[in-house]
Amino acid sequence: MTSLLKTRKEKAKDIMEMQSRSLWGDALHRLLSNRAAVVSLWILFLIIIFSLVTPIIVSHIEYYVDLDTPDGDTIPLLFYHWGFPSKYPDAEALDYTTTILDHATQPPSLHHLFGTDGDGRDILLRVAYGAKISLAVGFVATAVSLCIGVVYGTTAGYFGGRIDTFMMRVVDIMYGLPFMFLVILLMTLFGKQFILLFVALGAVQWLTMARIVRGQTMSIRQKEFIEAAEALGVPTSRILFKHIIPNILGPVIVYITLTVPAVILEESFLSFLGLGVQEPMTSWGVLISNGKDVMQQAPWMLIFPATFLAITLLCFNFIGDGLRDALDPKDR
Amino acid sequence: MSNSSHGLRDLSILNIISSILGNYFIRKILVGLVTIWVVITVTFFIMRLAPGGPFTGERQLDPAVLANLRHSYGLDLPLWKQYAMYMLNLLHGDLGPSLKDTTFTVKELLGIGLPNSILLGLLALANALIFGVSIGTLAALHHNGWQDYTVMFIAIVGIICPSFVLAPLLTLVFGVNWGILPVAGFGSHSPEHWLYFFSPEYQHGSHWWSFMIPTIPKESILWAFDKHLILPVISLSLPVIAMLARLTRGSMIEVMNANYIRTARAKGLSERRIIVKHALKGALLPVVSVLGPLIAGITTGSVVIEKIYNISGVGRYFVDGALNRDYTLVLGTVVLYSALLISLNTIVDITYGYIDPRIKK
Repeated sequence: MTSLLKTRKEKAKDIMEMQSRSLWGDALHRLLSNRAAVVSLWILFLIIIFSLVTPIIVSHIEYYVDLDTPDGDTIPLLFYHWGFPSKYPDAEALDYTTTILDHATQPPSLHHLFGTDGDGRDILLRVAYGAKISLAVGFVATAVSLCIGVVYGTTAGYFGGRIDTFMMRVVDIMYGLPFMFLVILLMTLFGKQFILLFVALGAVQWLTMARIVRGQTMSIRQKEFIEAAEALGVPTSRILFKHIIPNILGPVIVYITLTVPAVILEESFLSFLGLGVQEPMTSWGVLISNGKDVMQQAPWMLIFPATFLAITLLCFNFIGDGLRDALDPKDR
Repeated sequence: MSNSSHGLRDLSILNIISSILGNYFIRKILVGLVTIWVVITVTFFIMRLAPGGPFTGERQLDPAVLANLRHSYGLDLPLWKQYAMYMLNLLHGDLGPSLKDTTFTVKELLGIGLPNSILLGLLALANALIFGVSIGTLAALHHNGWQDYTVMFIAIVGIICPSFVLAPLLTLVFGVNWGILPVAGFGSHSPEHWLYFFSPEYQHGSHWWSFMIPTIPKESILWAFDKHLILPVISLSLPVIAMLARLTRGSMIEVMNANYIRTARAKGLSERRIIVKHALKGALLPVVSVLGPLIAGITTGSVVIEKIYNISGVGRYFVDGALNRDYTLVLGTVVLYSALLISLNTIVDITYGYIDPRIKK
């Protein structure tokens, strides 16, 4: 009934709106109507803001002091949030050891919202630093796996034939490898370097990516517009990067959102074993590992990092599910 | 790929070879063997490329002593010779001596660790399969009911709570706060053990009737079946239970809406028979297909669990060996793990090809 009552202008507007919705616009609309995914996106955004902003704010509240120890050394207390009563404490009057004891292992209070650890460091600040590194590892390692997987998968899928058979057989063989053990081996042998962590974790994850990309590429390769491009003499690299890769982005994006939490989890796993991020840098895995040793005396040292890790993993899973529903062509 | 077409073909050697390679099972087994070889080779060369060696300890060794040590373990030979020697010895089942713990050979060390690891892994796997599949089925049968929501809640907990968070929490609650389960002390012969009555300590001539009571030898695996195992097995299997429950629920919901289930209902079969005989058969296919990654996950997870609960299994030897540059020990654990995982994967693949003939190309 309502459509009969619409003016011609409104009808035209409706048609225009329908036409203006592209594939991506449609997907975005579906994603934004998924409440769990939207809430997860917001929470994730807040966690990222938290990890970036907290060190700035807290460092303003924090008291940077150079403590003179009895030996005559000067210790700059950069990351130490002491919570002194006055802004400029009399550093001479402070005794190094008693200060640490005074401020170590404090339960959550107004001064330290998440409490402090055994060295008197503020857990809120530590969790924020950990968030930075955990998320960075997640994103960078996923990017590494994305690069390897997309190049490998499109090459295999585009050229097909023997090249494809050989490349996929290699992937099959690598699937059987106990990869986490090789990563543990790499981390222990080559000095626990930060860069290596990214590369090693990314190298674990690219196999599934390569398989997905290859399957998509093979189906797109059959389409007429690729044939047209080939007939027009477009170079192969241009066909790959301009025509094929943009068309396989949907499933790849879904897989990316599922890879990031997997990598974050693997990083925490390595850090938990003492093989990942090293002090004074920290990550959620390191904090959880430290927290579980003292969880009876100081449960806040375990609870806060574990909660942040759990919420992040949950958010990524909801976003991944939402994206899959939004981009899945089967539903359309 | 290979020529597996039927009919008459001339029996040249190449054709025979290609028809053997075309066989699904033989192909799978060959791929498995190649994979094991690749893993061993890669591990061997990664270990040797890494800086530091087994004898760079805190105290500096005399150069002559060091040279002697290196000579006695064959570390002064060219790399390819060491590799060839290692592979030859491996074919004879010899994993070499441990470079750090010189009183043991690698085989002996693994012999101590392997039963513990296998026991833990198998119990966790069985636990995960039984609980995961049954609660997944339960959720699917009560789709959108309270059972469904409970199971999905467990699944979410399993996803967001990795085993290294879960294990300390369980220990805190059950071991420390409530004190109903032991925290550590796996494989001990303590008086709290339920089989202590049969232990050699208790029965060793302490009573006149002792000769009538059979004793369980110290090495017996029975000592490991203990309440000390409960917490490790639960924390190792809960993430897997969550994954399996999700998977089973999804495929079971799909299957219960399939046409052949409707036909079975129309035939008047009982609901129980439909579920057990018809629906589960189809719904368990995806579960079989993830068994390989699942076993790999349990094995990797067991490294952490063994560390937390202080269980002397293979995982701990692996991490310690890598940290100490104990070349032979690490190679031994990697060989063992890869052989185990890859052969299990191959078995799963072959079983899957048997269950679902569409897979066999």
